[in-house]
Amino acid sequence: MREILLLARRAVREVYRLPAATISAVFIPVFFMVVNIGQVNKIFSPSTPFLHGQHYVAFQLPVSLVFAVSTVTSGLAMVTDIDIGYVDKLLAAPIRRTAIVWGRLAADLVRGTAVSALVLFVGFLLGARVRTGVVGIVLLILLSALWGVAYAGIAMAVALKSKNVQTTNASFIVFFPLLFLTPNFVPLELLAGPLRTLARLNPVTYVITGLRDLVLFPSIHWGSLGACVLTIALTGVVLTFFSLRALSQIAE
Amino acid sequence: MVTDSEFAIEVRGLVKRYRGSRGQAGVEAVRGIDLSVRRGEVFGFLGPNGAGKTTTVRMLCTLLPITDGQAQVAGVDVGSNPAEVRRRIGVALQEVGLDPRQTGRELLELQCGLYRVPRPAERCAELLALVGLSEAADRTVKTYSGGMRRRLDLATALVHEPQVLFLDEPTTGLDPASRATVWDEVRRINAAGTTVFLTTQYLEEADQLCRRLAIIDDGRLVAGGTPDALKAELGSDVITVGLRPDEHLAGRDALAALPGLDHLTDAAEGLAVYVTEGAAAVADVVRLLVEAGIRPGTVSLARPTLDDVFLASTGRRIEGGTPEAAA
Repeated sequence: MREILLLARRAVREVYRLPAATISAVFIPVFFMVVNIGQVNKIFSPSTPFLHGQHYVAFQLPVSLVFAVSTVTSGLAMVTDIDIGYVDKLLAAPIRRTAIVWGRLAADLVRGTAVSALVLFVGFLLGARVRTGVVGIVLLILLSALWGVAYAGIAMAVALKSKNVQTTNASFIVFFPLLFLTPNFVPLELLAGPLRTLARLNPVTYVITGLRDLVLFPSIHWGSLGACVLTIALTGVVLTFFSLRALSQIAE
Repeated sequence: MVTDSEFAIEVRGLVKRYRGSRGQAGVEAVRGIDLSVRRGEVFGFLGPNGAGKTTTVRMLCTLLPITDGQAQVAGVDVGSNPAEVRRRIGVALQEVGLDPRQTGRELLELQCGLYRVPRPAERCAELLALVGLSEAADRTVKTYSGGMRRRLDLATALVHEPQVLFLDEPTTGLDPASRATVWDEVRRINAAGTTVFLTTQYLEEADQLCRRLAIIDDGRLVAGGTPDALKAELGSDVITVGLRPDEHLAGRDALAALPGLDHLTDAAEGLAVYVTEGAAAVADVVRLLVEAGIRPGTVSLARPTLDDVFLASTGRRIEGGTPEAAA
C-alpha cells in the first residue's frame, strides 16, 4: 500500500505539472455539453416526460461526467515511463510489480475526483440540479472517478502490451462507440431498435443510467445504482487484470 | 538461500534465447557465459553494440528471465530469489530512467521510500552532495544536462547502499568533462565498498576504471583478466620509427640484430618494431639505425591497448571504441 501511495503521489504531481492534459480532458466534454444543450434545449423543455421537470442539461450531465473521466492519460504516462526507462528502474526495485499499475490508477482516482467536481460545477452553472442532494453529489463524483479508474485500464493494458505511444493514443477511439452507442441523448426506450440492442449490450449505458437517476430523481434508484456500481467494478477487475498481465509479460 | 561467497557475482553457463515470432528463427543473445566478480572490485564488461552486454546485465538485475544456466548476485540465486537480489543491487541502466517532470529531490525521496530507507531526507541530502547536485535538487529534471541526469541516476541507484551496483554504459553520450565526473563517482562508490559491474564499449573507460574485465562478442566471452595482463598476453611493445621510404630496407637490415626483437612491419611513415621490453629497446633502436647511417625522423613507444586486445580476441577493432569515435 505504501508503494502504491508513493507512486500515486508522483503521478499526481505529474497531473498538476502538466495541466494541459487535464484541461483538454475537461474542456471537450464541457464544450459538448454546452453545444448539445444549446441545440436541443428548446426541443426538450422541462415538461418533457424523461426530464422529470429538469432542464436538458441535467439529462446530459452524467454523459459529460463519463466523457471527462474516460481518458488515455495514464496509458500515455505509462508508455512514457517505459520509453524513458523509469519502468525498468521500478521493476528492478524491491516492490510489488502490481504497485506500478496501482500507483497510476490511484492517481486516476484523484484526477477523476477533481475533474468530476469541476464538470458538476459547470453543470450547476448551466442549471442542472442533483435531486438526490449531497449524497447524490458525492456518489456522482465518486462513481465517475471510479469509472475513470476502471476505464484507464484499456489504455494502460495497450501501453504495457504495445510499449508504443501512437498505439496507446489510438486506443482513445474505443471510447466513441462506447459513449455514443448509449442512451446519451434520449432514454433507452426511445432509441431505434438496433441501436437500443447495442446500447443494452454496452456497459457504459449502465454507468450513465445509474448516474443519471441520481440527478433526475429525488430518491436513490437502487436497481440502476447497483447496475452502475457492478459495471464499474467488473470493468475495473477485467481491465486491471489485463494491465497486470501485460506488466508481468513486459520483461519477457 | 544466501551464500557467503568471496564473489559478488557468479555466473555459470548463462544463456538468453529469444523466441522467434511468426515463423522467424529465435535469437541466442547470450550463449553460455561464465563470470566471477570478486566482492569490492570494479569489473568491466566490454563489447561492441549488440554483443550481449545489456542482455547479460538485464538478466543479472532480474529484468529478464534467464533461459539457461545459473547466476548468483550478492550471494543470492537470481532465478529462484529475484526479490532478494533486488534488495541487494543498485541499477543504473543505459537509458537514464528519470521522470523529467519531477525534481531531483522528489525522485530520490521516492526511491528512498520504495527501498524503505530510514531517514530519507538525510539520505537524499547526503547523496545529492555526493553527486554534486545539492543546488539543483529542487529543479525539475528536464532542466538538467545529460551529465547531471546521469549523476542523479547514479544517486537513485545508491539510496539503499547496494552491495552490487550495475552500470550499463554509464558514460555513453556524455561530454569528456561529464565522463570524467562519472568516473570519479564510480571510483568513490567503489572505494566505499560497493562492487561495480560496468558495461562499456569505451576501451579507455574500461582501462581507467576496471580492475578486471571480460570481453564479450556475439554472445560469447572471448577474453578475460586484468587490463595489464590482457595487454601483456599480446607479448610486445611497439616502437614506431619514422623513416623515408628509401630507408626502409636498410632500416630492416640494421634492426635485425636488435635484442628482444619479436618482429618488424612497415608502418605508415616508417617501421613498426615489436619488442618485449620497449622502454629498454628504444636506445638500441636509435643506436643501430645511426650506426647504419640512418637518422630516424621520429621515434615513439606504445604499449598494446585494449583495442589491440579486442582485435586479437575477435579479429576486428571495436566500433566506437572511444567516446570521440562514437560521437
